[in-house]
Amino acid sequence: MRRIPRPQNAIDLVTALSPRSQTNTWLCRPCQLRAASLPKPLTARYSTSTGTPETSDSDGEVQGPPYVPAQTWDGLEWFGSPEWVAETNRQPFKYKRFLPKQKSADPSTIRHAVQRAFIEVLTLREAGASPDELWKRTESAKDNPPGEGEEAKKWGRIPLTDFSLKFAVAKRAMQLTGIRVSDAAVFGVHSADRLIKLFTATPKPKNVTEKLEQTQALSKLPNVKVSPKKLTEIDKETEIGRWKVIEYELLQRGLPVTRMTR
Amino acid sequence: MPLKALEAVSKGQNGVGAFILQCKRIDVHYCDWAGSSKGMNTFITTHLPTFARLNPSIELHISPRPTRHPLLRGHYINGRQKAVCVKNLAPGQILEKAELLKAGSGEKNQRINKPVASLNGSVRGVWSPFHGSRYRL
Repeated sequence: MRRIPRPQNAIDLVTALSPRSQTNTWLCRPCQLRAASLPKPLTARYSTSTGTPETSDSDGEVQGPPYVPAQTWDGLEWFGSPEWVAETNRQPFKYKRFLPKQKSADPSTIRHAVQRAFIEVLTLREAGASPDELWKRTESAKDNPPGEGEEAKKWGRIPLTDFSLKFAVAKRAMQLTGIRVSDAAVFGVHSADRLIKLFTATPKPKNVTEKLEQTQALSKLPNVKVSPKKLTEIDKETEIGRWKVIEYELLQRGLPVTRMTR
Repeated sequence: MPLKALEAVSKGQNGVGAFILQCKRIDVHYCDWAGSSKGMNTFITTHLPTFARLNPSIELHISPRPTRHPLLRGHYINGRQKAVCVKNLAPGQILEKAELLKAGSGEKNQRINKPVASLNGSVRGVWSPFHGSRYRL
């Protein structure tokens, strides 16, 4: 039986022509090709330096020292360690919150905050008067609650069709109130009063207990008891007044009261 | 004079004069995460307030049982308990199960073969020499 000759792959031919293919044998072929096209090998920063000075090629390309893979981590550059921070004189990173910790709960406060966000964004757009000055003017009319009267109607008429304005107002309102609103919800808003409603809306309940608290359907009934957490054996014994007896007897005998103390 | 107990004139029977519901408490367990509790979670928010209002003598305890199927557990005045798993059931079906627990006596399920069941062995009662027609020799 005659052996069928295997045709040579095109990539093998290209690799053979590449000048650095012999030195980077531990790299895969596509990476070798990519490294060959670059002025300096990609792996140079991971290698330890041999100390020989760099020589210049006749083409003007800078030829580095021959690549020697690092066997240990001695001499390699480290990032992110406390010593590295001290050497580079960097300021330690401080986490800055985008939203405040406390969420506003009062609807009138939220309404004020959204209105303030409007004023700030529009003032910055105009780049005329300062935002504080305009806000002080609006604050002088505090006696009239913003949720009632002609003022609320005026606010409702402000259109919100400009995407950049809508995004800026929503972002600033989030910073002022601490309430996070999804992009999809903001996308569907087309007027100022809808945006205010979006911020003042009650959040969706996360579980059944929260839902029952919101609806208040069972709270007024005397024969219903709702517990937010799973009832344990200790809870059941406490309910009938037997747990303190059990606990006393366990302590008297030197036995563990709960599993955690075992 | 020795102390003497009062003789029982009549024996109390539930339903004669007053009716006391045998079910004293129902535990309602659900899971916030699992899909088998979907119907139960809806039942708690929609049907349960009405059920609790209509049955003020039944104590209702609602508590989660995470990563477990939903459950109704009835407690009866004879000390027994009856638990019904209500996984994947619709709110209406769960209400039927709650009614079943409410109507139960707490006794074990028994097969009834006879058409008439009674606590007394005979409708004629126990024979007494002082009652009924007088016999003369």
